Amino acid sequence: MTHQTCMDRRSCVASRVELNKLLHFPYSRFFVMQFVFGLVLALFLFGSAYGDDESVELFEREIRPLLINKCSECHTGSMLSGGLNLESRESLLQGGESGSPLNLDQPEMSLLLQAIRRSDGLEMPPEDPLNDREIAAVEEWIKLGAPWPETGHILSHKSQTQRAHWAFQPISNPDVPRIENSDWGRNPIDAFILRRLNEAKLHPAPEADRRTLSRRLSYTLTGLPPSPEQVASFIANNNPQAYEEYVDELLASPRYGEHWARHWLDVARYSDTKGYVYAREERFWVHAWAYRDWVVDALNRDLPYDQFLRLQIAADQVNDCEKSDLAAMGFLTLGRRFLGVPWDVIDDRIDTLCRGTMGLTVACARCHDHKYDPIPTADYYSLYGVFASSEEQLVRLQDAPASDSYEAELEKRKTALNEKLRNSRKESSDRARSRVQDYLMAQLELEKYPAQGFDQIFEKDDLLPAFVRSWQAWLHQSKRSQEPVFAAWHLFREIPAEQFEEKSATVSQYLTQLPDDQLNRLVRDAFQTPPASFDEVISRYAVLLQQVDADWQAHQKNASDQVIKLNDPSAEQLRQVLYGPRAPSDIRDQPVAHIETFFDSGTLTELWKLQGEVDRWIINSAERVPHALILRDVEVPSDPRILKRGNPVNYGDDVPRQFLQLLSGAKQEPFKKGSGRRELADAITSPQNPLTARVIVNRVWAYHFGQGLVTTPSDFGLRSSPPSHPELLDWLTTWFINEGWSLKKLHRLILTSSAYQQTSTLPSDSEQLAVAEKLDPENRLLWRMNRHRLIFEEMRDSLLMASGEIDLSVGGKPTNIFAQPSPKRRTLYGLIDRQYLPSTLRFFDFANPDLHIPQRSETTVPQQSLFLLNHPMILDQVRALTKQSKVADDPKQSVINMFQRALQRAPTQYELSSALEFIQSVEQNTAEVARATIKDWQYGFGSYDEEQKQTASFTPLPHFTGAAWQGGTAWPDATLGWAQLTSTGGHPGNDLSHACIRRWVAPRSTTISITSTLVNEPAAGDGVRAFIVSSNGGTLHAVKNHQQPVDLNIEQRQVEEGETIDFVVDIDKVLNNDQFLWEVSIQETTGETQWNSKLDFTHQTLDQLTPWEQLAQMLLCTNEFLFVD
Amino acid sequence: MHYGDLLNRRRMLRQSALGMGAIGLQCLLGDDGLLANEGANDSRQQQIPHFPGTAKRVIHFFLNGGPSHVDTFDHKPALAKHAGQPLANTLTTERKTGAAFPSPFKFQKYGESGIEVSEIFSKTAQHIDDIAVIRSMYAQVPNHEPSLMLMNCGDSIQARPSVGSWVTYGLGSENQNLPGFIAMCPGGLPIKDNENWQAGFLPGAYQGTYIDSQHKQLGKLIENIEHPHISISNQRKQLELLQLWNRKHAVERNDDRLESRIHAYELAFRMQMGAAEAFDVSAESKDTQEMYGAGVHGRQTLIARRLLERGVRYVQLWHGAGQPWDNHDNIADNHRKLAGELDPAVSALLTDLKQRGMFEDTLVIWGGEFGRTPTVELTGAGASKLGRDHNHWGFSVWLAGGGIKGGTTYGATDDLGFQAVENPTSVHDLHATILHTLGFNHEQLTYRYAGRDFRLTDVHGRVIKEILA
Repeated sequence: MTHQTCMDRRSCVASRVELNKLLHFPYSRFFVMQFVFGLVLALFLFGSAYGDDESVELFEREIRPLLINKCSECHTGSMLSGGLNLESRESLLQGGESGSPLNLDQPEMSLLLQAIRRSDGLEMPPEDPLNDREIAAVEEWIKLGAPWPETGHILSHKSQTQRAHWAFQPISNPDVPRIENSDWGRNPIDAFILRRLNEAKLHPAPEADRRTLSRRLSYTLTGLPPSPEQVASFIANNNPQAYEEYVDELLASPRYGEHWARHWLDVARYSDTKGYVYAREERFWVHAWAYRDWVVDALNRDLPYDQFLRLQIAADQVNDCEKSDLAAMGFLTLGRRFLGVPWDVIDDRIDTLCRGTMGLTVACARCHDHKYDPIPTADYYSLYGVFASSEEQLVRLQDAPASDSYEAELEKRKTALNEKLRNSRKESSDRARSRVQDYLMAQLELEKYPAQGFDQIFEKDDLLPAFVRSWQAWLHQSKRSQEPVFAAWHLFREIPAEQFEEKSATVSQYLTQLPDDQLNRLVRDAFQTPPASFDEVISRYAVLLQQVDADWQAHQKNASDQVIKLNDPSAEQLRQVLYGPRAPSDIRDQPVAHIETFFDSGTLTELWKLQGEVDRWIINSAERVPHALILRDVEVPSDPRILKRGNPVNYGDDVPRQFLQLLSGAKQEPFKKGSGRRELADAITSPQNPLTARVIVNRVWAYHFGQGLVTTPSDFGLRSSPPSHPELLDWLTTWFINEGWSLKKLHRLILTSSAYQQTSTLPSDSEQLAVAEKLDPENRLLWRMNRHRLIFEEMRDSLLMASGEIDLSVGGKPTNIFAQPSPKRRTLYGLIDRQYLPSTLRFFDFANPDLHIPQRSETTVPQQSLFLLNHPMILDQVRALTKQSKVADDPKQSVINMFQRALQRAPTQYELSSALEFIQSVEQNTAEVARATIKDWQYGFGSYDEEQKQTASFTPLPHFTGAAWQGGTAWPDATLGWAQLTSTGGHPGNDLSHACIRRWVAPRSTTISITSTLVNEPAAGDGVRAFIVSSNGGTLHAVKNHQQPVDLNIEQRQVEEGETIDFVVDIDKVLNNDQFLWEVSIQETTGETQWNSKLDFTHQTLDQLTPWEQLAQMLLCTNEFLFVD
Repeated sequence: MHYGDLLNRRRMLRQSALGMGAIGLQCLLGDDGLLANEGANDSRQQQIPHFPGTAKRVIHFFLNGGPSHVDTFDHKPALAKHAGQPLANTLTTERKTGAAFPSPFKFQKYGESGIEVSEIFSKTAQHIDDIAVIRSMYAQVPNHEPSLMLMNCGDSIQARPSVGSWVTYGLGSENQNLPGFIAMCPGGLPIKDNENWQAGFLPGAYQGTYIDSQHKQLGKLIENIEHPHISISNQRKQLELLQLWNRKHAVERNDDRLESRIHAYELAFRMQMGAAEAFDVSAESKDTQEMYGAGVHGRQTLIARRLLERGVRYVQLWHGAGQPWDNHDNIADNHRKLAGELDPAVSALLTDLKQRGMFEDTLVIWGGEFGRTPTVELTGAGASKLGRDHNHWGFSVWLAGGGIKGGTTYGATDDLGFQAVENPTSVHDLHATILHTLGFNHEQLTYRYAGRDFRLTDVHGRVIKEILA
């Protein structure tokens, strides 16, 4: 407020009150505010600050928390200081010994105001004065008539209970219980466990045997079974430190990080792909695998957990980290793409972050205050603002150049993208700038513009909703900051349309009094005469802005040096609206993903295509150049607005970027640096945060014992079940923090406890068992160990361990583990495609990569069994296991070897004899099944000699896939092309010298007849040529076939032993859709034998499991293989 | 029954240590007493959790791409009056549209109810007195992806379980040899791919099993069902050995999960034959096969009927890969061709269900993710290709069978068919109604995830009582 305008304060106020009356503003509000001139003007300019909804909002956002935090301790419940009870509006109005604290008729006279202003001897709260903002809020609230939603609603009860919730209390450091009369237990964990068991009159189980412990330890730490040798040496080791040594050995193994990384990847909803994207966008992430490898490495080097989290949230702002640590931010950036909808992307980040690190279901507050936990919607949007003020950036992690060709092509593609992006941004911005008037008009009918720009196809001459929303935000911000260019706009906007003509003169007149710092001079001049309608307001603004734009263009052209601004400050102020930082027509220099809605549909498709070219070059290259998709702070962070009911076009209040009220308490204050992401990371990883350390300690515990001390690992809120051992949880957590957040130390402590080393079997004493099952059927008190069922990754890795085929190389790009032949890498390195997640992963309860998954479900469905019985991957392992175990002429030793490899133990006598019996019984059986006729067929390629009417050459096809003979694993093959033979037909090779030939060889001299039907079905192409050729008799049939099936039969033919009958197909003239079906039956007319090309096809022999392989398969299907005692 | 049992089921699902195995089986299994030792041999236990439902199973024809309501079940004679004239429409759609575009198809009244249906669905129309047409559906945005998610999973964007997953979670399957929820689409996936039948946060066992119904070979229809590497008799021997070992192992341990897995192998073994039988349409009479038609739609619909008959809970039949009904151009030819593929199969199914006494307790659903504009779509250059743009403001879906009041229409779009104006019906309302026919209160069929109880209809949904018998 300048002195100039306050020279005549009275007349000013008076005229404003007049104005107010004219504009139908509620008089009373102005009356109470005339004491505070600035506020009057603010309110006047910005209109009605609080509607009904807003007054509730004010109460919920400001007043209720304030009453709870600052007053309720002394004025609710049993403690009613001064007789004043703040539990409800009624009791508040009623007041206490000093009378009612509120005077709704004369708000300024309210005792409450005097108390919080400390103006009249009365000082409340006694020790912790309210700040100015809080005082202003109370003033405003009383002036509004002290609105309080839900009359009779108890103020404090719910929130006190909420705050008293165990998980929100500071972490304590309880004493380790002293247990008398027991020699059970190795470390403090056991004392806590035993105390609870004793209280329940339960007993711990005896220690498990060495083999069991060996398997258990190995799976817990590495997700892999021990080798038979490891088990043997552990059993044989008499050193009293043998167990500890084994633990240390496993902790030091690189396999440890791989296994525990997978646990964290469930939390981080890891996927190598983005989920559904529009066809224009590349659907694979560039950076996912580098994040996965970072997690593995971080765990292997025992990076302290607080730093582990800090890097994942804000590595870009952590000074003492390596460049490679930027990969950590994949935690935030590799969620689903949600079709590019930013609200959902951010929601996913908030959800993953808060549930993952703190066990808080903050995302519930997206649409309304959390129903159970003390998390108001405002807090959600405070975090939202942090992410909305962060932008993605793809960073290359490896400085050393890759090959020249890689770098050159990458550079080329990047240049093409950047150039197009730069041009398109300018083009689209210029277009938006040239249509200021249209975009301002659009502000009057915002409902016409969808929240998402993706809903419609846009031509270049369409108004883009994204710019409409930018203008909306700009105007909102200008109102909030009392910026002088649009001050007139906001004032005219207050006039109801039907009264516009009548009242615009008053406003115009009022405007003339405003000084330059409140109203831009040029704008003031433009409104010397009252506009007839709001449309005219718009056009005057548009004209002004166009004029300034023209001046600016001219100025730039004429100036010799580079100019940075207009000389006239008022004009410059207007120019800022067009060209200033974050001007509404501006498109930020950001990756396409952030700014896609600012382009017409055609341009956007081109941009994504170029972005895809860059991405695909990195993704598909054989060279392994790790990248990170990081977040970094935008240049000008902004405060978020609450989106009411989560609706992206239903704006509520502005909220600051800050940490959760629940965890900051009275210290809640806006973040100061950039987006605030680093401060957020620090708040989450603070040792004072009651949740973060507890949550990870509980997760680690759960992966050791099968269930957590808290059974909902990602929900520590009011709806979670209380911890089974609260003191133990706190003691462990304190210990963990004191030990430097070291996960490996935590593992070691847990693993060396007696609790962990108990057997998982039930007590042999039936009385004990009955008591235990009655009192604690879920075994929460740990009266025994829980049996662990292998998750999919552990199961597949164990299969590969048993077969000896496992490839333990570390890191790198993902592999499709379901491909054939089966890849041998650990399952961790399998491709996770959230869009096409293989159904095998689904029915083995793999973590849904679309969502943060705290715990895997554990289902048993027949599809799992079918997989283990019939999937080619299993058959590969079964064959390898057999090969590794089989000892010639020693069936007994073979069985023993198999058991050792699969179960790390020798078979019992009973198992041994049943296994050998099985071998015998299926050996007979298999012999019956095999067709003797199979051996009479051969599969090859060659050419047909038209002059000799003979097969000119025959070369066997080299590769069998299990279903087809062809040139190699890939089809078409690099040298033999499309040549292929299957049980029912095939495909000729690419030219006439690569006809495919199915050859029958007569095993004896006899008489045969042949029946067969050939067809080349597809309409496309020119069909195929087919021949039946005898080595003795020449060509028996020669046809050209296209679309219509043809029968190729031979009534009767005498063949000599060794004579060949070839069934030859070539492409004829054109290689196009030449696949064919040709089933052949050969009947021995003088005997019983029948040959059939389909039944005799190779897989009948090659694919069939031998009896030993069938045995091996069953070992891998046992429950003992899948469950760890 | 049986709310208590449902709660039980939910609690068991959450208690992974105890319940998962049994429940997982129950989802695929049912009434043959195999689970007797887990106390689940009562076949009714899987059904009707809140109150007696009128339907036991669902078949959903999904006309992906968005069938035009004004060309099928929502006749708009007024369009003819305005033919060629630009309409004063302010509703936004994905692309620009121009003048009113009357349907190129003839409509006529069918049945006693006299409901008008387009000639392209004349065979289906023979059953109109058994059908309730909702003409006032609306969705949220004019794009396929979010609308498919809304129609299938009740939420445009977030990963939520599909209707079929919810139903299977609630009811389980009645067949021991088949998955409880099957989605068939010939020739590949619709857009949004597997997300259309996702289990979301429900256990993976409730995910729809996708089948590419263009195939005829069993091995290509169901994963891991064929066993070319071993004879069935040897596999039987294998399992005997396995069960011998497993039983011995289990006796020492007393763990439900071990028992469940023993059963699962038996089931898998039987499924190899059971599934083959269910998919083998050659077992049907020649008349039946002819009634359904020789094409892929006839075959997949007939397979669907066989699956339903064998206790599969929820079958979704998609028209084809991508978005076949998305006719931005040449509605006259394209819609006629597509309807020609579908109409005989739908009609045959209705006839067949009635003949087999299954119509009364099978809910049949027909519809797409949204409708199409009554105005003609314009290209960027302003030219028309005689097609229609997406229209989420108003469209039709129909229901029949299991407890539906036939010969009914519910709600209406405006005179020109642009927007639902009478009894506007949200997709959540439709979902609430589907669950209702199956015996569920849609507000009570919930699953705890991320700290709260989720439901298919989120915080919305009203059962459309007006179309219930």
